[in-house]
Amino acid sequence: MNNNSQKYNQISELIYKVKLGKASDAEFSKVEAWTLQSDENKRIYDELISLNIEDILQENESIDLLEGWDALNKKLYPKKKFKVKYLDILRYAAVLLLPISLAVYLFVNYAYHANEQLSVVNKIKPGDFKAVLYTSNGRVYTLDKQVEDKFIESEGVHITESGKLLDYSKIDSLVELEDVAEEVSYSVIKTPRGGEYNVVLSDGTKVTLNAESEFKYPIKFGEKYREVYLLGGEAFFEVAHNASNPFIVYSGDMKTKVLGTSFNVRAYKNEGVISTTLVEGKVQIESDNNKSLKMIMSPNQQSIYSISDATVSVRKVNVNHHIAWKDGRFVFYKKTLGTILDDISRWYDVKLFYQNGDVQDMLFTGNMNKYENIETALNMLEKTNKVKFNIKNNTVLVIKKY
Amino acid sequence: MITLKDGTKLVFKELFETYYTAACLFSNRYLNDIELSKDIVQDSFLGIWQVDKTYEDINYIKTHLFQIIKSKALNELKHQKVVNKVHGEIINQKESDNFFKTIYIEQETKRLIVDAVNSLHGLSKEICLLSLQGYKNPEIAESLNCSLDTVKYHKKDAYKKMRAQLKGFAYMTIILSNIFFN
Repeated sequence: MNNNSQKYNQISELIYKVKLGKASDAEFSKVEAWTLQSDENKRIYDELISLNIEDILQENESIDLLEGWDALNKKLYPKKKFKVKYLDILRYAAVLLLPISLAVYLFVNYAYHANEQLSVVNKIKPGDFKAVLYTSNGRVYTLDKQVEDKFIESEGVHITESGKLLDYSKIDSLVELEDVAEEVSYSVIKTPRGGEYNVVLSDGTKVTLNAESEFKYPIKFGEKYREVYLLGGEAFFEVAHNASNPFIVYSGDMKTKVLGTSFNVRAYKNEGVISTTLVEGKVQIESDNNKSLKMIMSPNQQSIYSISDATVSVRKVNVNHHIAWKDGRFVFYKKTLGTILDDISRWYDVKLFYQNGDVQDMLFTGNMNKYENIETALNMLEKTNKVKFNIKNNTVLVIKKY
Repeated sequence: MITLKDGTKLVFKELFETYYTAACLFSNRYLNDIELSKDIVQDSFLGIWQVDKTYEDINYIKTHLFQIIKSKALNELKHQKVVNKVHGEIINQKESDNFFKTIYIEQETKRLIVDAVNSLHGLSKEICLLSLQGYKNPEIAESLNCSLDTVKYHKKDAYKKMRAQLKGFAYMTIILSNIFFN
């Protein structure tokens, strides 16, 4: 039956192509051969080809997806009513006490040993809060969780939350900088592979930087524009609203202009594209190399700007997949293994070596906690039985499974 | 333990969004009762969600899902027969492999069409729809009040997008796993 269904999937795909006028000659002949196999097949084909597209769409709209999802959730988490007598509770508690204490003992014991083992075997660590700050007056600061909360005077900036955040929005930083406010001076923050960092800009805009990213910004914004530069990597912006002072992100020759909104920009150089994903509000994208390109995006859209030919395509996406990184997860939906592993290698700071290049194009869907160790992440991908990984020192060997 | 926020469920939600409608319409071909069909489909999705399993690709999940729906729907029909609502012959006909084949292919083809058309937006979508209903390019240009070149450009663009979307499906591997939440 399984086998049959695969056949049915194939023939459905072929008929779909014929119906939309996209079938090649070879594909068309395949469908024709299939219809000649039986009257049944011919009937199915004729029925589908004669259907009106509008009718199909209408039939489809008769089913409410949201209502279905809600109903499913109600079934998944039914509200139970408990009526337990006090004596019963005591009885259960007494019965459960022994196994629970045993389980806790075993677990603690196990966790203790598991930890011991890990510290020997596993040297590759997930990323953490790390960055390097290059200030406008030429000084360099290394930022990580070891750094204590402090105030860098020349920058007018606070390092807070145990070295996880740079905050330019505190009042006294503005006081400090009043005399230099005429000229906009820029600082640069760089996250290494295996690093991430948060910056709050002087207007209160929150920026989360992913691993291997470079971000240039003024320590205090000018009067007319708020201009910042994502020189590489990936960042999530939650822009403080200010209608009279637009916020502009430059990334390569692409420009994203916003008033107040949250969105993600991904501009890793090796990918050749800059993807902008809009969570809420409105943004406008423009290109220096293609003046005719000027587009306004709405929420849940992602624009993919191709750097080589300065063109853009827009698609609807589930934004959660594209911003999950800032909430500590790797979520990928129909993504190529190449992209997934690039993200993993950036985060765990490992090198990749492909035994067979073509595995990079395989598509995967999945979800993982990015603070787990690398083995857990790779094991999960291995569970699909499509690929295998071998970790040696700092290199992950990617092997295709047949 | 598993909340609406966690990501594995996001993946499951995408699966749901992809197949729910087609599955309901499929189920309805057995039952001729859309509310009952929805109910059965929701239960079938629940079954898939509650078993922690890795599937080789999207087609396996889909096959699995539609088989579950089929058997649930047939059980329901047999139950209805007992209370004399359904004729035995109808059940025999709907139990046949040919019936499954017919409605499976029909629903899958329709689903692909809907997905492809709905992946387009604005002018591209309108042009594509008119073109699929047999209108010629000049007619489309006239009815949408745009140039012939615009029509041609959007048609080409639309087909490229739809093709890319289709290609994406064939090689997909699904990891439906709760290992991080146990």
